[in-house]
Amino acid sequence: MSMSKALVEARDVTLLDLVDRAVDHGVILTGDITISVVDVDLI
Amino acid sequence: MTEVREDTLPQAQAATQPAPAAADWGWYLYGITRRGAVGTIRSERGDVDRGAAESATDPGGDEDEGEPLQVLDCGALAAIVRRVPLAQFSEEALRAHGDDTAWIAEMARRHNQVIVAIHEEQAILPAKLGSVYARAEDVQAAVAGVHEALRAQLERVEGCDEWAVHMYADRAAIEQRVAAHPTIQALQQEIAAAGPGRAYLLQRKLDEERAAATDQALREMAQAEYEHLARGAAAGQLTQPARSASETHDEIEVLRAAFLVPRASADTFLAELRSCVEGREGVHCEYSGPWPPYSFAVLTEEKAP
Repeated sequence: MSMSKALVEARDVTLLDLVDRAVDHGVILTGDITISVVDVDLI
Repeated sequence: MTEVREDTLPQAQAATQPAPAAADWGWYLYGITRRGAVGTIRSERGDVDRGAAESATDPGGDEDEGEPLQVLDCGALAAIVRRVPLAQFSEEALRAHGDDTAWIAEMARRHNQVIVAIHEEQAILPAKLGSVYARAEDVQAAVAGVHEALRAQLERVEGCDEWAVHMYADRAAIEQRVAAHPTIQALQQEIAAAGPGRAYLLQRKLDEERAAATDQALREMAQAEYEHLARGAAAGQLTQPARSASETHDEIEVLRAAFLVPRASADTFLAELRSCVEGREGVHCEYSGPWPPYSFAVLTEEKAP
């Protein structure tokens, strides 16, 4: 089960919003050396 | 992108880092602020963060807890960073945790904790979770490349919080509501008067019409709510709602949005939000906030020289 689905089912909106924001948003600058932290499908 | 390992690190790069184990360490970027108020960050952030480190259960290792937050000056801006062991952010480490809800949530919590503490004091553009650079100079170079765009974004989010809004609808209830639609009423009368074969075809048409009318009603409700809330915000952003939730809940998410709201008008915005939460029949909203402006930390196409 993807993380977002788990969060949607738990209906923990704050946790869902937190992960949604930190993982899916935020400014991206060039030159970082990490792969995408999370490959999960954020629904 | 590839992880940087000691054995692949160029000699010249190692030479710029006098620390003996420099190659094993990277720089984790939390966000970009305006230069200045640096002293405030230094003194307060250390305290805030020590508290965070103590209370957090670190699923990935405790190696970074002793490292203080640092402020890297980048022209008129400053980058909030912390030295972190690269091993924590290697491709292997990240892949191992990629599906681990608790681990990702914990990472997000720690990331957010630092950003929130700064956001409470001054404008910050949060970085995407897990942005790690090999060297401090790389962070500075990355900022320099989009310096003006970042500065413009910081100005835009100054004095604002982000609020997250979800609207959920009970599809069955909305479907009942659209049953009063003239097209659907007319079809129902036609079915009642028709023979079995024709009634079957008409019934299929009715189902299609009803589904289409329901979809449209849901879209219109979401759009109206979004526009209504956006009027009280400096900016709004729509995100794809969680369609698959319909399989597990009677309710489906019809709207997922973020709003950038000036603190001065937060009360008015919240009053509107709460009236949405109280809701109408078959519809309700949920929200969270205030957040640092994650959804509005977006660089436009423009590039500084």
